Amino acid sequence: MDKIPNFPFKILRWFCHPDMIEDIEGDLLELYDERLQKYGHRKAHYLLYLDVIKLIRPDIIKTIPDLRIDRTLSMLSHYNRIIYRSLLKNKTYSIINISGLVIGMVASLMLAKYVGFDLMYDQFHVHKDRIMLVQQSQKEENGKVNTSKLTYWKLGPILLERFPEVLSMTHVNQNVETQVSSSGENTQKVHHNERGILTVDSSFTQIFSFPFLHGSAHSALREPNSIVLTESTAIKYFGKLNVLGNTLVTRLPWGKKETLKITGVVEDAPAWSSLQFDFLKSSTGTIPDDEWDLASYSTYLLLDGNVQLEALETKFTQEIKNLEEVSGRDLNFSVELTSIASRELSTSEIIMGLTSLCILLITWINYINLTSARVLSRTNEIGVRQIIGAGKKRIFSQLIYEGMAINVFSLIVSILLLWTTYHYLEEFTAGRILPFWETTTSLNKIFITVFLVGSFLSALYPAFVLSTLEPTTALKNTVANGFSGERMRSLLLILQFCISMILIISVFVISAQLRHMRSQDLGIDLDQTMVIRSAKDGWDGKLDRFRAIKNQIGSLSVVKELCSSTVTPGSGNGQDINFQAGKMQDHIAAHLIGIDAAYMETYKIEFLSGQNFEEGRYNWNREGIIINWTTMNDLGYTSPDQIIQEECRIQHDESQYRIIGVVNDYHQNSLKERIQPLVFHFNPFRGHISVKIDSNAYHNYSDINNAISLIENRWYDVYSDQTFDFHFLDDSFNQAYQSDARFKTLYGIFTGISLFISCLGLFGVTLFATQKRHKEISIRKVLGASSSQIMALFLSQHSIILIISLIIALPIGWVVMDHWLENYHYRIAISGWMLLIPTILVVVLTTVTILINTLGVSLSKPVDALRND
Amino acid sequence: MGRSTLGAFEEIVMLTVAVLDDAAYGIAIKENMESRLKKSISVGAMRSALSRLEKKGYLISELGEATRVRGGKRKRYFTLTRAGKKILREVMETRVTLWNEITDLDLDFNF
Repeated sequence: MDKIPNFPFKILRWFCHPDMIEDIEGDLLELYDERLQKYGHRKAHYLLYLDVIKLIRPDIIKTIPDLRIDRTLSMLSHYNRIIYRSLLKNKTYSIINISGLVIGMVASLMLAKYVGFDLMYDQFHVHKDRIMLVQQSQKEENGKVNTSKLTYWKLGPILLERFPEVLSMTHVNQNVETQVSSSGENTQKVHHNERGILTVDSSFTQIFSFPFLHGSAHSALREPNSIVLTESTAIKYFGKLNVLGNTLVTRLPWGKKETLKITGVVEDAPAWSSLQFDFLKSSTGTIPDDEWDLASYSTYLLLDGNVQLEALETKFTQEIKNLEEVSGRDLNFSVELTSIASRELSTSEIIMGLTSLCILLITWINYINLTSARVLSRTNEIGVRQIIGAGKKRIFSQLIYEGMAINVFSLIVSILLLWTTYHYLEEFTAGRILPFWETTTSLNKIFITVFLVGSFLSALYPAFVLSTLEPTTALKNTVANGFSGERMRSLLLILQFCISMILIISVFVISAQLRHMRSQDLGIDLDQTMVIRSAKDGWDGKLDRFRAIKNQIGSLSVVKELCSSTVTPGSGNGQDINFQAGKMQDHIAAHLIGIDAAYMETYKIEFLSGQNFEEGRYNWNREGIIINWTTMNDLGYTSPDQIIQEECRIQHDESQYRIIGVVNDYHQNSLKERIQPLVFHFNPFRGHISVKIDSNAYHNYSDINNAISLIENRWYDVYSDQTFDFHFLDDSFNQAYQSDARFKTLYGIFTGISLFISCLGLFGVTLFATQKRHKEISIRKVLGASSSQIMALFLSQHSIILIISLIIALPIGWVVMDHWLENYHYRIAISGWMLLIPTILVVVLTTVTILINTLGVSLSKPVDALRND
Repeated sequence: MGRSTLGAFEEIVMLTVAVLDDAAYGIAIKENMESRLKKSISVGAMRSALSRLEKKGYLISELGEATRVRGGKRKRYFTLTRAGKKILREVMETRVTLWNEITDLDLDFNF
């Protein structure tokens, strides 16, 4: 006889109501035998399974309480009750533990979201993996490799033409500040100065995925003089979205006027787009005269899916090298491709990401310390469990469950907390934070994974310690003295304090660097300086009007000084030029700024040699050039006096110039930027007007407003159809430090949090240590120890932990922050106080934490503790 | 009505139990019904109907003697209760009344 399969009956026994098992089993066996005769082994087998499955019916299965599932459920609900009770039993401990977990999780998730924002950059483009930014890499004589994101105009078209792998390409060129006015017949005329205009090729809208609200991505920029607006720009100029067919008039700083037809409206570029713009202007039909002269165009390629990037780079470089135009011009560069989808995190972001992880780590260390310190109060419970019959496995899984449950509870609280306050965060970071629920990046998944692994590991240690106790020792409570977890806890405490120390040190260094950048002498006087953006005026009499406005504003009593220049401090370095002077044959890259005779004086820029332009010597001024120290240096001169009176040339400019002055280096832009070689020429005909307000002329805020409206009135007297667009220089310089300031604030907050958590941990651990040793302390007191001696005893034990932490943390903090400072060209050196103050801070905080705990015990009457037995 | 009702399948199960009298246990009921209805009935369907009827109070059951045939498992014999007999009668009477009221016996029932 065949063997009757047991498995179906196992299933049956699991779900079947116990009253029916016997007869049903009998019936099934009878049927099985019968079928075995009739159909053979196989079919009988199969039918048996089928019958068992068909038996799963409401009238046959057990009622819910009888099911095994429910036994697990009731076990779990018992566990939950135990968790709840043990949390309630020691409220201080529970609050410390859970709030530590919650704070840590909120903080690290928040930081991760902030750092993760960069991962989302440019990920929304459909072709993201195939869009490449072309870079030119040039090897300089001193061996330095100079990689530039700006390329020659001709590079892109050549690559598109010669390589089938390149499917499409577009130039992207940021326009100079332009005045844009709407010119609809019925619409009200609106005009603004705009800096967010990109000139792009017609393929731009197909390569990148900026969704069109109106118009078509295929044809929008095909025609010359077409322009595409973003949603908010359309609203700004026309008050509505569908503005197809309307026209905009643009005026360039030198007065050139263009009428552009609106052929599309796209959604605003999202915050995580590296291309930011308000307008896309068609480049069709315009080929610049400097195809191979100035590398000033961004070039993007759309590649075929299956290409080897490195091989392609070599092919491109080789091809370009062989071009006649290139070799003829003695250009020597290699082509590099960077996918726009790949992102590198900045040092600040890496630091913050690590901080986020460290906070989580501290949080769990805290949890482990607190939980295992509480072994004492749980030993009785565990002992009883063991005696009743729970095996090691069961106790272990109960404790793991308990750890996970507390972790999950904390996570839920953290998520709720963060979720409800998320819009404040978004506001604070100016939208530079990942959306809470998003799937573009895998950050949320990573966080959940880290969370699960971390909370499991943190539950593991206490569970391990408790489940390996022997029942008798557990019940006798002797474990307290023999328990070796002390060393483990000390180790974890050291780790925790190291992390906190390093974080505090970095906060001090970061703040010092920021202060340094803000307070540094820029070499230029920006006080009370108001800049009025230039009028876009290109008609007859523009010179007269420009002179008139300068005279008008200059004559106001609130105005101390006034000058004009094509570029103002804080908004770029000016036109890129190739410059050559004296005996040097090579051109150097420099930046050209047109200024009037009053510029140097107004901004108090120091002359090292030579002289300024002079009022009234027009022809002499026109031939003069003033350079800064860096330019002189780049030209190969060492002393300003040598270069004075040298002849010089600007490429593509026929005129002969002579260097008449050298000024000291000053920071044209924020201190984050290295000082660039600057070349000044005389151009009093156009530009932005810088106005120094007389600080004696006003006493309060409304006086300033009055001064501004006076100037504004004069402006509109002269330029009735031009925008009065102004800003104060100290503001615009401060803006450059905004992201650093935000970094500092965020970082400071999170360091505070991690320090707080660490102290919570220490507090919890000492709390239990003192309770545990209450009797010992009492005996010491009976034998004559004073309260202060007992506190000293506790302090000395923890001071070892503290000292070890300091020894480890100080050098690490120093090295890490020194590395961070390398990002800044004008950086501070780390000085002793930046290490000393954090040390003092930590020492004081830990001492206070320990004292708070031990104070009660060391002051209590010995008899209270000893009588307990 | 507030009274337990009897489904068509349940009615046949009960009638079969009545027919089989002393020998009414699982497989016997199942095979008897299968031969009458000319279709196969799963153990599950049959057994759940039986235990449902038992819960309604129309059947009672008791375990018989252990035999060697069924792997030593005892059979569960079902018998009608007083309430079971009563409801069978009621159902039958309702049907009969209905049949009697059909005047037009042209109904050939040639399905």
